[in-house]
Amino acid sequence: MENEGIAGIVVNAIKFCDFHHFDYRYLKEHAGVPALMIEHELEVNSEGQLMTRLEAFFEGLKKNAGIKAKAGSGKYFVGLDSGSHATKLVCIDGNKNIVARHIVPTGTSVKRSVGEVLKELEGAGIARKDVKRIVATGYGRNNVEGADEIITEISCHAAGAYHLLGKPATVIDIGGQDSKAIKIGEDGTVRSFAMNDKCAAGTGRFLEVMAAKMDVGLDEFAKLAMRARNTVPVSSMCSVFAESEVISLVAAGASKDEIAKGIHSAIAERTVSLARRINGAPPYYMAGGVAKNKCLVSELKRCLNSDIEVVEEPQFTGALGAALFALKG
Amino acid sequence: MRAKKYVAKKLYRSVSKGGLTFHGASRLFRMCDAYFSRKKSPAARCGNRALLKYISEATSSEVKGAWTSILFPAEILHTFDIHPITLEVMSGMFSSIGLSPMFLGMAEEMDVPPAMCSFHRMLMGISKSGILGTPAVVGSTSLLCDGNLKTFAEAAKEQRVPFIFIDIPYEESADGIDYVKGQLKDAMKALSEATGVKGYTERLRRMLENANRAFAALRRFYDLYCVNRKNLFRAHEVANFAFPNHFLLGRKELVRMVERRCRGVRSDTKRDRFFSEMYTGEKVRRLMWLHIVPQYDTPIWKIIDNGGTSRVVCDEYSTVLYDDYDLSDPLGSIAARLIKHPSNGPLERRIEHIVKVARDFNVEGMIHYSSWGCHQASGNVSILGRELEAAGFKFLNINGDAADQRNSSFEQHRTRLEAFLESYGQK
Ligand code: SF4
Repeated sequence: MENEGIAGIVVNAIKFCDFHHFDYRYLKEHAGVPALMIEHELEVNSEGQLMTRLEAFFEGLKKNAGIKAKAGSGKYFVGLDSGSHATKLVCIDGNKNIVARHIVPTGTSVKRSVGEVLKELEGAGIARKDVKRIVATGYGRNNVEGADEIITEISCHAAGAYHLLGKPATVIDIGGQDSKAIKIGEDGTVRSFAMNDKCAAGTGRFLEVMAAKMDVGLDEFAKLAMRARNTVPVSSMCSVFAESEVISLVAAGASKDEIAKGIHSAIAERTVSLARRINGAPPYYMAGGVAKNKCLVSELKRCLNSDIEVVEEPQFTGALGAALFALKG
Repeated sequence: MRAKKYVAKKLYRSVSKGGLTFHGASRLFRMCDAYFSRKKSPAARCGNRALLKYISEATSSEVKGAWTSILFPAEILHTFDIHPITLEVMSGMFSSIGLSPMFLGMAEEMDVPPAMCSFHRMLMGISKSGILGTPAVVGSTSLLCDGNLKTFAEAAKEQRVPFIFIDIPYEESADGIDYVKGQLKDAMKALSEATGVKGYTERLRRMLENANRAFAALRRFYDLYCVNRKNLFRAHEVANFAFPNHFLLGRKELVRMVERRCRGVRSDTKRDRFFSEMYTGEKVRRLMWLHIVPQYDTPIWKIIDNGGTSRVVCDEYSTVLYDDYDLSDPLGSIAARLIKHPSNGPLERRIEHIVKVARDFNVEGMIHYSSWGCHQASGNVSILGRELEAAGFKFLNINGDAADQRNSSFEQHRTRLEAFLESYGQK
C-alpha cells in the first residue's frame, strides 16, 4: 500500500458473507488510511445510497472534491439541497451572510422542484446571472441541472453545521431516505460518518409510514407523542413489521399517544446507534427538517444522555453547507 | 414478564456501572426467579434453579471460566475445573430478559456485520461489555455453525486469552477420529498449561463416567417423553435443554438435572400453568420444531403449543442422543461423538435424525425456524423441506430472529402458523 501511495481502502462485501466485514474491522484499525465498508448483493439495488457513501468517502480523502464546471460571474453563491421530500436553497454573499432561503416540495421531479426554487430566488430579486456558483447536494444532487459542483449531503451538512456552531460536533440528520451521523473534526471537515442500512428503519420515511398508519399527519403525530405519559414499546425495526405491530397494538387497546411515543423512541434508538458507530461525542447538532419534531429530539437527548443543539431552521443546514462550498470554489 | 425485564435491566445497569459484579447480579436474579418462575411446573423450576446456580458459579471470580460455542466438548474443560460459559446461551438468556438491544448496539459500534446471526453479534457485544469478566480461554468447534470461527476468535483476541478451535471433519473414519483426537490432545495440553493441573487422566476418566450416566439419563428421558402427555414443560424450554445437555456434560449436575426431568414425567402432579389442563389432549396436532427456538417470550406458542389444539412435542437438538463413551479411549470417543453429531456431515444425516425423532414422537408436522443471518438455516431449508415432505410430514418454514425480537414479525408468523394448522384438515 505504501508503494502504491494508497489514500484509502474500500472494502466491498457481499451481504451475508460475514468474513469480509471482519477484515474491514481490522483494516480500519491497522491500515493507517481511511477505510469504507460497502455492501452489495451481487446487484446494485440502492444505487443512490451507495453513491452517497462512496462520494462522501472520496470527498473526505480529497478535499475540494466534486465535479467542477465553469462558474458564472455574479456575486452570490447558492447551495441547493434536493432532498426526497423538499428542495432547499440557500443563497449567501461573499461574506457568508445568508441573503435568501427557499424551500419547495420535491414531488416527483427533481428538475421541476429545482426550477421552482430558483424561480423563487429570482422572485426575491436574485437572477441566475447574479449567482457565481451553484453547488448541488442531497438525494437528487446528480440530477440538478446547471450545478457547478456536486457534493454529498454528508460533507454539506458537516460544513453547514460547523459554520453555524463554530466548533466540532456530531451531526445527526434523519432524512427521508437516509439517516446519518457525521463527526466533524477540529478543521470543520468530516472525520467519519455512518448511514443507516438499506431499509427504512430509523429514517423519516419510517416516521411517515407510521403516522399514515395511525391516520394522522406528521405534525399531529409528533404532538400525540409529546402528550403521552407512557411509552408503548414498538419493538420492530422494519417498517413493514412495525406497521403490523402498530395495528395489533391499536387492536389491543393501546393509546395512540403512547404508540406514537414508542415509534419516536424506536427511531431515536436506531439513530443513536449510528452516532455510536462513529464514536459520536457532544456537542450534538441535529440537522434536517425532522429536527423540528420536538418529541424525537427529546427522545434522542434521552438516548444520548446529552443535550442536542437545533438551530432555528434546521432543514437548511445542508443547503447552507453547499452554498459555503460554492463560495469556497 | 414485565417484572423480570425490569429487574434484569436494573441489575444490568448496576453491573455496567460497576456497582455489582455479574456473579452478584446473577445471584440476586436467581432469588427473584422463584417469583418469575412461579407458574412453571416443579420439574421446570428445578431445572431453572440449577441452571442459574451454575451460571452464577461459573462467573464468580474464584472460578476459572471458558467462553465456548454450544457444541464444544465441555468434558475436557470440567476435567480442569474450568467452567464453560456458552456464549450463544448467554445471548439467548439476555434476549429472554429484554437485554438484546444493548448488546446488539455494542456490536454495531464494533462494526460487526449487521447481517450476521444475532446470537453471534450479541456475543461480540457481551465480550466487549466486559460484563462476564475475562475467561481463561475461549473455545469453539466448527460444528453446526460457520459463525463460530470468526466471532469466537475475535472474542479471544479481544480478551487476550488463548483460543482453542476444534475442526470437525465430516466423515467418521479412522483418520477423521485421529485428526480430532490430535486436536483434543493439544487442547488438553494447553488447558493443563493454563491451569497448572498435571496428571489429568484420572480426572478425565471421571468426567466421562459422569457423561455416560448423563447419556443414560438422556436416553431414559427420551423414551419417557416420547409418550408423555403431561404438560410439564413448554416446547421452547425443552428445546433449550440442548444447552445444558452440552455445557454440563461431565458434571454430576447434568445427571441430576435429567433425572429430575424423568421424575417429573413419571410422577409430578403439577402442570406448567401456561397450559389450562394437566394433560395434552389426545387429538392435538403433534408438531416438531426444527433448528433454533426464539429465546424471548413470543405469543406464537399460544398458537402452536397450547396443549388444547396443538402441541410442539419434540425438537431437533434436545433429542440428540449419544453412545456411551469407551473409557479405554477417552479422547477417541469424544472425537467420535463430535463427528457423529447429526448436524455434522451430509444433510442426509440430519434428515435421518429428524425423521427418527418425528416417528418416535408420532409427529405429523414440522416447523423450521430460520433465524436472521443463519446460513445453516437458510442454506438447508429448501432441501430439508422437500425431503421431509417426501417422508410424509407437513413442513413449514418461518423466518424470524431468535435473539432479536425487533427483527421478527409476530403478525407474519401468526398468519403462516394459523394457515399451516388449518391445512391439516385439508389433506
Ligand atoms: S442461529 Fe445459526 S448462525 Fe446463529 S448461532 Fe445458531 S447455527 Fe449459528
